[in-house]
Amino acid sequence: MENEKKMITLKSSDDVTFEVEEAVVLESQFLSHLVQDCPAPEHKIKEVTGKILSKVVEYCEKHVVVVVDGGDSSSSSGDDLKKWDDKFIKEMDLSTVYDLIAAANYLNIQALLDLMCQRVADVITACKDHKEIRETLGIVSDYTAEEEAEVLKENEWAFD
Amino acid sequence: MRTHETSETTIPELCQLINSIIETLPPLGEPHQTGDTSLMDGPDPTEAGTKRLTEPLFLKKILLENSGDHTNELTTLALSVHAVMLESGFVWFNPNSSDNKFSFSKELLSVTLKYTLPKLVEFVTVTFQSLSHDKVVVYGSFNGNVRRVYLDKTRVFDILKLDEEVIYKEVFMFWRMVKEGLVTPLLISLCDKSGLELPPCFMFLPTELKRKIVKSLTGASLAKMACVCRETRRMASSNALWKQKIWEEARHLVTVDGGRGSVNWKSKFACFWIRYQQKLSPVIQQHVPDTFESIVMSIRRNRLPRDPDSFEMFNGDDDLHDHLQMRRFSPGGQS
Repeated sequence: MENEKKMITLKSSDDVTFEVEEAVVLESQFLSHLVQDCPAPEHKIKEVTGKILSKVVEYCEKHVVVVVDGGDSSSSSGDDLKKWDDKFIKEMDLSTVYDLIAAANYLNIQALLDLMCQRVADVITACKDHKEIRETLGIVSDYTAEEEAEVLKENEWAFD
Repeated sequence: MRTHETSETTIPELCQLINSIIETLPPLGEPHQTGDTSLMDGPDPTEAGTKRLTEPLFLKKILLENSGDHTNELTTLALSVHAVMLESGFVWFNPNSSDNKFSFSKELLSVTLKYTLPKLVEFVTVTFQSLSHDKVVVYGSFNGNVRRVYLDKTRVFDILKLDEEVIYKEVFMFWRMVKEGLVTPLLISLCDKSGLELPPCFMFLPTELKRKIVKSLTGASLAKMACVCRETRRMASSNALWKQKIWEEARHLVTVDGGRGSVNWKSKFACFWIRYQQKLSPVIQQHVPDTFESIVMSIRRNRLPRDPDSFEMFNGDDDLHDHLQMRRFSPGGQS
């Protein structure tokens, strides 16, 4: 029984299919409930596109493999995983990061959600001032000139 | 299908070229892992039949198609920017057919590309300007706001000389620079102005996720975040959150009896930060010596608002930013 790994097919909103081992699906709390409650061979995830689902699957497969192979959590496999995560993040633009945040939140994959949120936080931290944050995050200020002057005065200590 | 045979290209030709490039792409294009097997330890998640072309690969194709011909770098560059615009959902906007023709001269100053979104009348414009031998600046403007990205021509066009993996990285860097520096901000401004649903961006995230991100900022970034807009100011105002920042960055300032809402943690942080910047502050966090005080603080640690639930509780703390009082404290933090 053990040799036969149960495969599950996930289908994205735009009908891209991914065949994955059950263990991969269990990385997502949402999907593991779905699979338990409804033992169909294929599950459609209407909220996630193929592009984003492929990233989610890539992440979950990597993390399952490492956890299984690493066994007694040797430190090297942890380091490798961290390196892999770093690379995974670096090869992504911010709009993909936001989509992945929404997907990880929906599918309830805590580690992926944490990783992606930290990525956005790092991007914000790298900004030298509020204007750069606005540009980077695409935020349009709704402050009046007076309000902006006031808030800048209040936080001027944080600027170099 | 090559544009560089003539020095004059019409935009329809440009679009046609892009379409023809898309058509020539293999339907089962390799995803970006090309030449990089380290990413593919397990079975490929996207088995044959489901592989999709990633956007940077689309751009790479355009660059490779046109690489090697340095006489018409600007055309290729404009084409590449055009590709990123289209990929992001923009459509080329052309009310007057007389605007159709432009010349990719050496300076490329005459080119103004206009883009809109389906069903909109407002448009954004993209213009190019050659700065020097190898630098090109691309301006994107909407509603009086101008954004610009600086592109390095030689870097872009030396791509062919590199090996496969480096090509991907270089193309990706180029794609991301154009997309994040120019295209996405234009898209967000246009959607915001027209009341359309925003593309994936920070403000598009649900509030609890925005808070989660804001929570993991450093104290200084949190203060800058407060200056961005009203919503981020509210999120960056929680006294409990500032208390957490004190804990993370200036643990020695956490006082055993100073809690219960009576302390303005943000102003405390501000004082610490100013001192720290002046190098007057003692070493921050990490190596707290094992004194009695630090042990007491370790015990207190459990009471600090570290989990999302307790943070939510304090989140309505809006009055904090009204008065930032600078409190005095001894250099060592506590007595």
